[in-house]
Amino acid sequence: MPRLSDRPHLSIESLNLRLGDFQLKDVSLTCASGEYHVLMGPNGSGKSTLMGCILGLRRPTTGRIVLAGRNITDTLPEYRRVGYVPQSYALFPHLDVEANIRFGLEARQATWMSTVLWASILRRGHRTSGGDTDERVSQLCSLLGIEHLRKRGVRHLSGGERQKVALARALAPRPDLLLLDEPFSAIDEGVRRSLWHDLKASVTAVGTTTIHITHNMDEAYTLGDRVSVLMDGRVVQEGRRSDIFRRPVSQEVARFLAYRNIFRGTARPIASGTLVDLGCFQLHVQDRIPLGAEVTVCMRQTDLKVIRDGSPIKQSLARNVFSGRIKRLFPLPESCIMWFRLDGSPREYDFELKFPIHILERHGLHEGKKIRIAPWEPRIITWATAAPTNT
Amino acid sequence: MSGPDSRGSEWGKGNGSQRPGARPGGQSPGPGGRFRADEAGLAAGQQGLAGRVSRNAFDTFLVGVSSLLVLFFVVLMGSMLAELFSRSFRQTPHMDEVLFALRLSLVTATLSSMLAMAVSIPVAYMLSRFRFPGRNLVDTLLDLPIVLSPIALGAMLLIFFNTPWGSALEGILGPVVFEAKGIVLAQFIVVVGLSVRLLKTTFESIDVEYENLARSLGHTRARVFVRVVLPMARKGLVAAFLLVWGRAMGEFGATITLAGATTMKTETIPVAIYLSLESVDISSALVFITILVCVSMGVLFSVRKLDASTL
Repeated sequence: MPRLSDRPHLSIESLNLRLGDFQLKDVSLTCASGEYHVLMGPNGSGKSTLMGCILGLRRPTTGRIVLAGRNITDTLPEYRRVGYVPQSYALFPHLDVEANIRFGLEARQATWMSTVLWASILRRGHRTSGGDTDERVSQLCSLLGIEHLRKRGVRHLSGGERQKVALARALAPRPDLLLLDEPFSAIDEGVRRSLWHDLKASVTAVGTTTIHITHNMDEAYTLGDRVSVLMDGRVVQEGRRSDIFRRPVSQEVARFLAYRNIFRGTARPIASGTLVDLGCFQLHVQDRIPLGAEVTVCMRQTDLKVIRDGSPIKQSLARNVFSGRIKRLFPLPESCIMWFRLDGSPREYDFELKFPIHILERHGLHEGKKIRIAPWEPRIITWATAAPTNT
Repeated sequence: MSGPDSRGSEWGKGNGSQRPGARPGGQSPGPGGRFRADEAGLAAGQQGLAGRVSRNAFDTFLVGVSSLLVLFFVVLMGSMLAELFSRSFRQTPHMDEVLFALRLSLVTATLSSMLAMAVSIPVAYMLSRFRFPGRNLVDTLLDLPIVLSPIALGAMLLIFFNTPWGSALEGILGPVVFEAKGIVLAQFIVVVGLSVRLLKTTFESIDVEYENLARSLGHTRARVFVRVVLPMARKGLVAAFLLVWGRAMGEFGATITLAGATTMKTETIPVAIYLSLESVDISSALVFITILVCVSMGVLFSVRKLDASTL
């Protein structure tokens, strides 16, 4: 449960870091205590670099990182209390499952002397025991359902099992923050979805504030209490997941979210909203945009509906009905993608639509068929890209 | 010199082959390394006779050259063994000398390779993890003993011990030149480059991610080294020790230059071979050669076996 208090649990304040050609630019991010925050961004956007800063493996040029009231900007990684599950999981191959999980719990009692002793004499079979430690390990193993694996070597575990062991190991020393780096990239497509919920349920049960890094939209949408989008070294949007997906802040974000049907035009306010002139067609939108402003509009593939002939058109569709032909159909296992070409359009196709596969049969759709489509008006996304030029 | 925080871009992605799931420290020869002609044969069959002939000619060439080389070594060993058995009836080798040389070689090679490992572990780890200006220079300098003629190294040591610094060092260590200590030092200088290089490869094959992760769990860098890096590198460490030890056993050039060739004093096995040949004592030379061959083969087989085992 995200508990919002006035002081954020984690706050990253105007972080700057230059690394060769790459730069983190003025990155700020906050997480409330217990929040499950998804950090999303394309490859090369700086996700790993930012994570390196949080872990303490990279030192930012300027900026501050405050975790649980401690300024950890210059703290060594071993004293930050940040748990980490890397993309590869990096389970120690020389230790069994239980010793892997125990690894972080042993750090607390350790001194240099015990290190040397442990290394030279007690290397095999030595366990730091103690009621507290044992209890913590058992508790995590039962929470994650990996009790039966405790004595196994890590070599022969499945992807999902590895992930759970890595998670247990990161959570064992009760970190103030948990960092998950693409935790599902090493897991088979089919199993992923069921593991999403397992992962989030476990983390939520422990109550650790979490930053989950991914470039997978579905993962971000399903898991994120809050989502930030990092692009080109900058946090371009941060907010509730519905805000990000409904109202991407720029067309770059929309493109990253794989939205299509992005057009550019000029605005003309009318009584019920704005009429956007997009060259070969016009679009009614609800947002009020000043006259003459340059506007970019985006209609998500799933927000474009095929209109059934003979039945009444819903009000939110009625003002923007386009007629044309189906240029191409791409039936996929669970959905169908359609390229639609407006009558008289010079382009190969104008709109891309995506709908459930049964629509194909219900409307008897085939390539070349003449149909009408309309965008769901409240969902049309607009960005005014320049100030109005009128006087 | 800067710490690992300023390392290149690979803090997360690692530069090594050792990802979880891969075998640690293993440079295991894949099945592709075997001679495979089936697919090639199939293709050639479809291309008709011309393709077949050219393929066969090339295969014959490869197999022929390899066979000749192997045969050469077999004949070499065979003639040595034959000579050894026929001579040992006529002329007995000086067993006390053989035992002395064997013992001296075992002791000095073990000492020098342990010393070399002790020095190489930190140096190789630093070279594999830190990026600092002049790193390439250091790297090249440490590779020098691998390429440089050992006699030149020995001569350099001899010259060094004639300088005031060398005399000062001899003051601390006791006499080195023409002494058994000189053997250890000569062997150490010759093999240390090899051990640094072998260990560097081993450490580079361990993904930095493991170390980052261990640190995030609260372990200091020193503890991470002892608890993660060394255990994960253990196979490479043992293999490196064996190879370095084998090399130290056979060291001749630097040893004879620095420690001389005094019978029953600085007479390691290679020196003994030299001395035996000088005095035309072929049967002793043969015994020494056989010992060296056995030791070398033993080392190589152990390293092979180690590579295949899950230590």
